[in-house]
Order: sequence, then structure tokens, then C-alpha cells
Amino acid sequence: MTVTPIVSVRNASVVYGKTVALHDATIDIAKGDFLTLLGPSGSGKTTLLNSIAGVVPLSSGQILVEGTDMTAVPPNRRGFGMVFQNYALMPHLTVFENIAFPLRIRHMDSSQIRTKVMEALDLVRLAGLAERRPKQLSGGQQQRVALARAVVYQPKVILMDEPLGALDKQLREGLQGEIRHLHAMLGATVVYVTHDQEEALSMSTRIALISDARVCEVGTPHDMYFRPRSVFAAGFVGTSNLLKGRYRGDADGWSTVELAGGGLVRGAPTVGLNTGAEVTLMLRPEAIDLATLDDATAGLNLLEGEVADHSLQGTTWRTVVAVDAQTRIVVQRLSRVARSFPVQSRVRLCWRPEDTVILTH
Amino acid sequence: MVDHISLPLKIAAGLVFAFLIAPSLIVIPMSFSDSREIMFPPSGFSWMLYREYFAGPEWVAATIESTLVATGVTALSLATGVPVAYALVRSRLFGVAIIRAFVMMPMLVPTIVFALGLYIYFARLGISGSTLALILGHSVHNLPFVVLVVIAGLRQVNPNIEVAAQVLGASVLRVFFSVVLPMIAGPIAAAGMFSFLISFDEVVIAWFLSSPRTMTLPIKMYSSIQWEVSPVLAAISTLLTLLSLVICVLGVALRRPEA
Amino acid sequence: MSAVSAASVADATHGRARRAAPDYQKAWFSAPAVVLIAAVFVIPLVIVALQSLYREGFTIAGYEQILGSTLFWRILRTTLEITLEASLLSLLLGYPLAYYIAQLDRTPRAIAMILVLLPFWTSILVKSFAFIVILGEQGIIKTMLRQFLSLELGTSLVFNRIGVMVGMVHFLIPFCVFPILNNLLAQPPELRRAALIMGASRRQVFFRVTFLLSLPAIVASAIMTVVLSIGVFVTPALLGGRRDMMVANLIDYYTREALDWTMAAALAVMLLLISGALIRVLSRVDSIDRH
Repeated sequence: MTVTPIVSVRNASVVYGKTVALHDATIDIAKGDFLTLLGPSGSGKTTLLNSIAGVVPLSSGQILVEGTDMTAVPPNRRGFGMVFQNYALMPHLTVFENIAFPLRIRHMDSSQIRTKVMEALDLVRLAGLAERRPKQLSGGQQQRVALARAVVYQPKVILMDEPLGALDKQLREGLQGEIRHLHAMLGATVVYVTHDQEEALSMSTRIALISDARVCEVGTPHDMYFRPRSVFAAGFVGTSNLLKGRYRGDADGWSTVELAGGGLVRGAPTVGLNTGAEVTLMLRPEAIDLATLDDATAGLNLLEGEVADHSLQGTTWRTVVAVDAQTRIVVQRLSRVARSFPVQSRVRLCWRPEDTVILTH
Repeated sequence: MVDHISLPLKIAAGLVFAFLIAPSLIVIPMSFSDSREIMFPPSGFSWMLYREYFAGPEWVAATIESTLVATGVTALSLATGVPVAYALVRSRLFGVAIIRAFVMMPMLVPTIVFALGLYIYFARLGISGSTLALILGHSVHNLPFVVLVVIAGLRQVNPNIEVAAQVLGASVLRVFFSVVLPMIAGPIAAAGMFSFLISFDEVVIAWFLSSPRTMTLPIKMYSSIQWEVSPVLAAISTLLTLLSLVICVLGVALRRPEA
Repeated sequence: MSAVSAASVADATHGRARRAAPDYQKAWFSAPAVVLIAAVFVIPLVIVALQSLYREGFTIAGYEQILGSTLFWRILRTTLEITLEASLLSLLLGYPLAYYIAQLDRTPRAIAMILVLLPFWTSILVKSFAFIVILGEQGIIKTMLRQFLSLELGTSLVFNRIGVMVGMVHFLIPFCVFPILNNLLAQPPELRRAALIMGASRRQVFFRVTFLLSLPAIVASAIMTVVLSIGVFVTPALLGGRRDMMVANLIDYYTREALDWTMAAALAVMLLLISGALIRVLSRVDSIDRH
């Protein structure tokens, strides 16, 4: 049985004159999803969100909502909710009236409006501020009002355009929790735009990576982090070490790669590679351990190098190891348990073959 | 500021300021003169000239006509200018640039040319000399001005507020009336007052379009200056200066939208 | 409007129309203004153009008469002289004023702005009346000179070119101050600071940085003053003498005294063409400067 996705974007493109803002995007959003559109600024993620909202018209392609083509339906008839980075609260209305706005549009009677707005205000813990004007509130409070306004009429999908981008780090982390909580409690479907990969990893059920006006990869945060399928994904999500090499065939159930600077490394088996093909290896800094030259390291990938930099980051030690003139590898180990290596000492980098991701593009 | 202000600059600025406000200031003492002769300083203090203005049926009729025209102009220029300003700021269609040039044209054409055109046109239509003719002419004359003030106001408003309202379910019309208009109420009021004042003071178009029946205050003043230089003008000028001052201060205060 | 939306929903379900574009709907908001301008601005201008070629049938007699008349050439010359002199003079007085206001702190600047705005919003008739009172034979200036310096000025100060220039410059200065002031305030102060730190004197900073950056605003002001003064009607009529008649006054004369609409219209077309040409020249100066 296939479930109809609540929103599906099919081959959507947006072209302004000669600029392609979105190219051939296809993506399905299931009910209850928390889908994050993640990408650098100018990558087209907001364009994709806006075309789902109906604010930006598609040059070609379709937007289906529960299987119905809504491509030409104006934004006010799509039944979505939206939250913006700069809050977009109406300055001439009180908090109460801002939240009541979508309900009044829908001609709900006033006692019902009152109940719903108060519920929504409770949900975002602003019950006492109903009669304030937006400009009397802090940034965090304003964004909670905007959240309440976006959920109060139970829209099919809530679109969020970098809602936490204007807030400082502490507030941002607090509100991340609240948005996650709202999502779980209301069973809402959320499409969320951010350029912050940590935010994407921590909040989403799925991430769509957008780069250069294209949707280049879609997956769960776990896959995106541990099994990225492209060099771009590996580089953009989390910190990673990327090493160039050539594929040298499979052995013992592992794929073998000869590094550009010399040395053989085993990685997770990869299908469809020709011997001699150029590949990139991705290693997460925390997957690597450091050992002295005479420690036992059976079954692991090994590379030797010299410590170029070693510093305490709090939770972790961050060590940069120079393997050869061109290659530097960053290693992060828990500072509470790992031992410290002085700069210029010779060390051995070791990691499990399954933590080596082989990327072809 | 980083730059210091040199003495010669201060003196130059002071002289230009004095030149700029001298006419507005000079009419005030003149208006309280107790003599029918125009001289400075005035010989004594009296309300004579004000009484003469308020008791003169022609002056009162002209003032009423001007008020009528300016009120109509305010309504018409706002009714056309506010929506077009919205379209110009918020629509990214290709044709919008052309519409913008079209709407701004009256500002680039010498008023006398336009006034002559209206004179011939309205004579053909048989509405010359009517209050309606004056209202139409002044509305077009003021339109670019209204549009510029409203555009400046709209540019200060976060467009996402309108997008939010639309996604929340409001139609384009509903967004305009219940979101956009309240947010730019201040700039609209400022534009309206400016439009009123421009029409109230306008001479050239009125000179061509008004008839003895619809003589506006500036036209009455114009003939009065041309033929007799009546001392009543001092009282009227003082009142007009006061009106300008009030509108200019209120306008400056209202020009920014609610943020 | 709801009909439009309903139609687009119908289209959407048939998969035809692509554009939900609120932009199209918003563009409709320009309709009332476009109708007003078309009906009450474009048509009258077209009528002027047609009228200039019509006198009981098609004719170019109006233009011939104008070009052959010494009166016209004299008045055109007067008009251009007054336009250029008044524009130049108001820029010369307006620039230092704008520069001064730009250096002020917030509150004094607001007060200064009101001092510039007040004459801007004052009726041209109030100003004309006031200048007659100030400049006339029994006016303030002459009386003061007589009383305090026992000086009798030989020349009149009003109802001649002096009166016209005083009135025009007074009318035009605010139009120079606003664009220039906006430009000066928008210039990043770091630029001037950087130039000073690099060793430029205040004079050099002004001429090599501030003034050059303000050129576009000067051109914009010049365009404004030219458009405003070339068609000026009230000031020469009230503050000038017989010999200070400008083209606008001549148009008025043909329209209302001579009742020759063809001549009036032909003059209006010429005035429009001349002011258009001047605007073109000035905006070209601007674009050269920017490239």
C-alpha cells in the first residue's frame, strides 16, 4: 500500500530571466514529516519553500497537495501555515488579533476564536501577553507568537523559513526544543528551511540537501551524517576529512582505496566502481583514534603522521595530524578519556574500515 | 559627526535659512496692521485685516471652493495613488516599470502644458469651470507626489507580513485592506495632507480651469496681488503659512509606518 | 477578485495555468491610477499636440508664426536665461545648506529640515506677496536703507529681473536641498574618515570624496529645477516686469487674451520639447558620470 504524500513537488523549476533559482526539484513530504531544506545561502531552499507556499510561481513542474495539483492555486487557498525569520507579525494588531487572524479569515465565531487563540497561546507559553503589541515583545516571544499563529488553525503543513535565524544562540536552542515539541505534540507536518546543519540534524525526521538550485540528496539525519552519498553532503553536514584516492578493487569484503599521498585504506563496500576510478574518502573526526607507533591496532585502517596542532575544545581534544605535505586530518577525541599528544610527536591514525565512506561524486 | 562645521559655512547656511523663512515670517506682523497701507514695520496692532477676510463674501467663497476642491483631490488622489503605489512596490511583473514611468509623467511635464491641455479638453467635454474639472486636474497633478510618499512608506514595511497573511488564508484584496492599509495608515495620512495642501495652494491649473463661479483662493489672491496688492493678503498669508506649518510638521511625523 | 481565484483553481485542477502568481493580481491595483492618467493626462497632452496643428483644418501655421516671431525668440531667450541662472544660483545656495544640515545632530537637523520644508510648503502666492512687501519701493529693504544708511537705491528690486530671480531661487532651493541632503546622509562616513587618515586635508576630502559622490544628486536637483523653472508662470507674472515674460505667460496670453489656441498649443509643444531635451542632456551627464 502506498500512502499519498501530503505534498509532492514534481520537477519544479523557477527561472527569473536568466537566473535559475530552482532546477527540476522533486521531493515528497509525508504526513508527520519534519523535512528540513538545508543548504548554503542562495542555494534555492527558500525558493523551494516559497513555491510550495504558492508565493513564488513555478516556471515548470507541479506541486501536488494530497494528490491534487495545486500549482496554480494562490497561497491563501492552499491551507498551509508559515513562519518567517523576521516574524512577520502585523504591527497594528495585538498578539491576540495576530493569532486570531487566520481564524477570522475562516469566519469562525468569536467564542471559538477566543478558545483557540488561548489554547495556542498556552501552547507557546505566552498566555499573559495576549493584549500586547508585537513591538512590546522580545524577538523570542515574537517568534513564539508567529508559531502560535501558524498552528492555531491546524494547517496541513507548516512552512518555516529560517525561523530562528534572527535569534541568539541560547534562545535558538530553547526554541528548537519548542518547535520539536510542537511538531511531536500536534503531529504536524513541517517543512523547515535552515542553513545551519546542526539545527537540521537535531530537528528533522528527514533532510533535503539543496545546493546550486538543485535538491542533491534526501535522507534521514542519521544517513546524511554517517552515510552521505556525495562529497558536497559530506562536506556540508558536520565536519569531515576528505581524502582523494583511487579505487583498487575489493578484498576481504572491503573496498580498497590507494590514497593520493600513498598508503592503502579499506572502506565500506561500494558497488559499481571500476578499478582505478578516482574516489574521495570521508572520515568523521570523531571516528578516528590516535595511537603511538607501537600500540596494538589490529584490523583498523592506519596512517602515520605528525601532530601539527593540538587543542582542547571542552568536550573534545582537537588534533590536526599532518600525514604528508598536502594532507591534514582532523581528529576529535573525548577529552575526558583520550590521552593528549604534544605537537610534533609522531602518531598513528586508526579507524574502523566501516567508518570510511567512499564517495564517487 | 566627524566633520567640524567651519565658520564661513555656518554664516552661509544662516543667510540661506534667513532668506528661506523671511517671507513666511514677514507676513505675520503685517497681518496685524491697523492701517490699510502696506508698510513695515506695521503702525499698530489690530485684527482689522482678519475681520476683513472673514467678512468678505468673495474671500469666503474662494476659501470654501478651495476646501471643496482640495478635499475631492485628496480623496481621488489617495484612491488612485495608494493602490498603484502598492502595485509598484509589491508586484515584480515586467510591465510594472512601464506603469511606474506612466504614473510619474505629470511630474516631468511643465504644469502649464498640462493645464492648457486640460483647458481645451474640458472645454470640449463641457465641464470647464466646474469643481469636478478642478478636482480631476489637481488629482493627476498630485498623483506622482502621493505615489512617492506611499511608496516610501511601503518600503519600510516587511513584505513577509503580507506573505504570511496570504498563506494564513487571506486573499490579495483582503491582505490589501486589512493588513497593508492599516500598516501604512501614517504615510497615507501624510500623503493625503500633502495632496490637500498642494491642491489648496495650486495656481496654474486653477488659473486655466476655474471660472468666476469656482474661483479658488489662490486665484483670488493672484488677481488681488496683480491688481491692487490688498492688505488683506497679509492676514490670508499668515493663515496659509500656519496651515503649511501644521501640515508640514504633522506630515513629517506621520511619514513613517508603524514598525 | 474571488472570481479570478476561483477561475485559477479550476485551471489548476485541469493542470493548465501554471501561475498562482499573486504578482498578477497585485498589478491590477495600478488600474485606477492608469485610467486616471490616461483620461486626464495623456488625452489632454494629445489634444495639445493635435490642436497645435489645427486651425479650421490641418496646418503648421502655428509653428511658422512662432518661429518667425521676434517676440517668441526674445521670450524664449528670457525663459532659458532665467531657467539656467535660477537653477545655478539655487544649486550654489542649496548645496552649502544641505552640506551644513548633513553635519548636524538629529534634533537640530530635524529643526533645520522644518525650516527648509516650511518655504517648500508655503503657497507661491504668499511668497510672492511677501517679496513684494520686502522688495517694493516702500518695502522693508528700501525703507531700512533709507532710515539707517540714508541710502536711496537707484534700481528697483521688484517688478524686474531681480524680483523674478529672488522669487525663483527661493522657490527652487528646497528642491536642491532635499536630494543633495539625502545623498550626503547616505554617504558612509567611514569614507571621509579613511580619506582623512590617509592624509587628505578637509578641503581635499570634500572635493575628492564628498563632492564627487554627490554629483548624481546635483544632477537630479538640476533636472528638477530646470523642469520647474522652464514652465514657471506665477513668479514672472507677479514679481517680474513686462520684459520678464516667460513662455508660460505667452501661452496664457494666447489662450485667454488672444484666444488663439493653435498658437498656444504650438508654444506648449515647443516648451515640452525644449524641457524634454534639457532633461535628456542632464540625465546623460548623470549616466556618463556613473560609468
